[in-house]
Amino acid sequence: MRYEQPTRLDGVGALLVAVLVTVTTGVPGLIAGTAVLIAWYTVPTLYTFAFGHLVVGALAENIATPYLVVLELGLLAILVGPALTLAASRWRAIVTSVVAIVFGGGVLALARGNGHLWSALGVVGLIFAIGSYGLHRYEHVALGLSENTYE
Amino acid sequence: MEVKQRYKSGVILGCLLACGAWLFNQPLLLIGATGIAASLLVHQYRFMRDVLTATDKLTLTQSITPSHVTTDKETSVALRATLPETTPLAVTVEPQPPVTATGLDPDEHRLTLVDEKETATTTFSLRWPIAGKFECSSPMVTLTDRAGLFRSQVSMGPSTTVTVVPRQPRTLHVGVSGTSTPTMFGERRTGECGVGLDPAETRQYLPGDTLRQVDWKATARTGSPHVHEFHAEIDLSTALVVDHRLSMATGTTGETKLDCLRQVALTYADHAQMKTEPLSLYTVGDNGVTTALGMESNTRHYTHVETILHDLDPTDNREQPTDQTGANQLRTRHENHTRRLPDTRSMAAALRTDASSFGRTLLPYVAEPRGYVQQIQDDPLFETVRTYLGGNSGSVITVLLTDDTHRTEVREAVRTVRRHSEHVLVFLTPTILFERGGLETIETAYDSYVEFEEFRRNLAYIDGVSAFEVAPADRIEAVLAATQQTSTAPAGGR
Repeated sequence: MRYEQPTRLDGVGALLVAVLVTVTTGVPGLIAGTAVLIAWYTVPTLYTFAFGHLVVGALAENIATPYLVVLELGLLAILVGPALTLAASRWRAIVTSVVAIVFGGGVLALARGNGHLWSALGVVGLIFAIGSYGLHRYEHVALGLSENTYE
Repeated sequence: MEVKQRYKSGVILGCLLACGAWLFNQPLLLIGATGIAASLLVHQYRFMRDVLTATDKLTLTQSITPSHVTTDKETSVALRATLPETTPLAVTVEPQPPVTATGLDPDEHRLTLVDEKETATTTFSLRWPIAGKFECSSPMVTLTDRAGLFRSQVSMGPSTTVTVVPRQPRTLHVGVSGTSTPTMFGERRTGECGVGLDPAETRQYLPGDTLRQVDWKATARTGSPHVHEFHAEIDLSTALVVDHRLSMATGTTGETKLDCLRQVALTYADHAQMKTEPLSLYTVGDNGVTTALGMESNTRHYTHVETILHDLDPTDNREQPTDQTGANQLRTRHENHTRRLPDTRSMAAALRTDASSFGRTLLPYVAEPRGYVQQIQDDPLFETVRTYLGGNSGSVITVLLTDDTHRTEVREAVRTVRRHSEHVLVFLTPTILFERGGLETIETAYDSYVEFEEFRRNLAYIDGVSAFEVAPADRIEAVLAATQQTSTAPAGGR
């Protein structure tokens, strides 16, 4: 079940996705859009975000690129919306949006550039792994929990 | 930093999207994966920053009172956490007592700092059943983010140390007339000459002396034959007799008469083990002998003796002796006792009215109270030394550890055991120095102490007997110091 508090931002995002896929693809879009709205209301945000991408990916052939961009913005709103209920909400929302756009745009450009999706996948995995582990180690050392910490 | 289930779910979703992008060659799914990755990384960075800020501002104090306790006593632990700024994290602080401490329910004494709460305090008690030096480690601080993705645990704040000492007298006085005797152990002079290494004297040759004994230099110097004499070296055995009757329970916890005498007995046991001297142990309870270990000099025996001494508790009058011989003796004695007294009384009553010569002759034998020796023989300490130490032979030193409650019995027991021992050492605990409130009236305490001292000196006057007092040093010093100005301290004993 959804544990985040719903916010206006992610509600608007979910509605935007539902309306746009309905408008662009008709009945299949209506069904898919309704499913996205239900998912937004019932399941945690990350599941809704992933499900929304599956829907958009499945219907992407019938959607024009400008609509796709707007759909992606709607999904981004779903992703960052719950951050508004946490401390430093604006900072979280803005930074998450910027990082997601830069990161996603860069990876997409890389995939388009060399024509190999797997290389882009590798870059995403590598950056995430290094970033996550780097933050973990930094905290470990800063708290003095590392055995090899020298003062 | 630990990741929680929600973070793992996010990673799995991202991986599924990435796999879908590769399988279906759909770059939009890859954008979804990057979005999830970006969200998780930003949350992680924010969490790390919040953790470092919170731990930097958090102040923890931990104190234990008292920090020096005896076993099974309780200490009070106070834990206080102060965070001057509000934090977006949920902060809990959990005390970390050593595993040997008991009485702590972690759920009850966990501190939680949430929202505007700046300070939290908890106080609880810990019980220490095991002696030693223990450290209450720094409290464990757990920080959790509100998004439910991460958790960090860090041990911070001061650690405190508790010293738990076993229940035993801390400062023990062993001596005579309030003066400590440095040592009662070590080499003992036998007073006899014979085979040995320590030279005793040079004397004139007597018929029967061997040629090896001749002191040639003294012979040449004096012109008449002289021989060397050496102190005789003999193998000593030690017999420990420990009284642990109910009267030995007098005193504060850990400093009872028995606790004090236990230390002396253990010292003798250690000394015997060090010198590999044969050692025997007899413990006497209210109903007779409770332990009878004969003379032996092996490691197992010494360990057994020490274990018994450590486990020794004052007996209850209702307890039965564990030693079979003692039990039999006791049973016979009780039977005799219960049968004899009513019969004697009724016989005396009948003979008083009997004016015949037969009646007049018999009356003194039954009308008089039971004789002195009979009374003594009914006492367990006397019975023990008579039964078990009566057959001693060789160079035996008997160490008798008891108190001054049963003075006549102790005196007779000492005389009895002296007949069969090379030397008798008597260690006595003055009851007045152990009674609760015994020192409230210092004059009365002093008078009682003087009485005890007379009793001790009477024992020490017996040839081959040394008598010592054993008590907590602070109590005997208190008696002597308070009376120093008003009374003359008892003259030094032997």
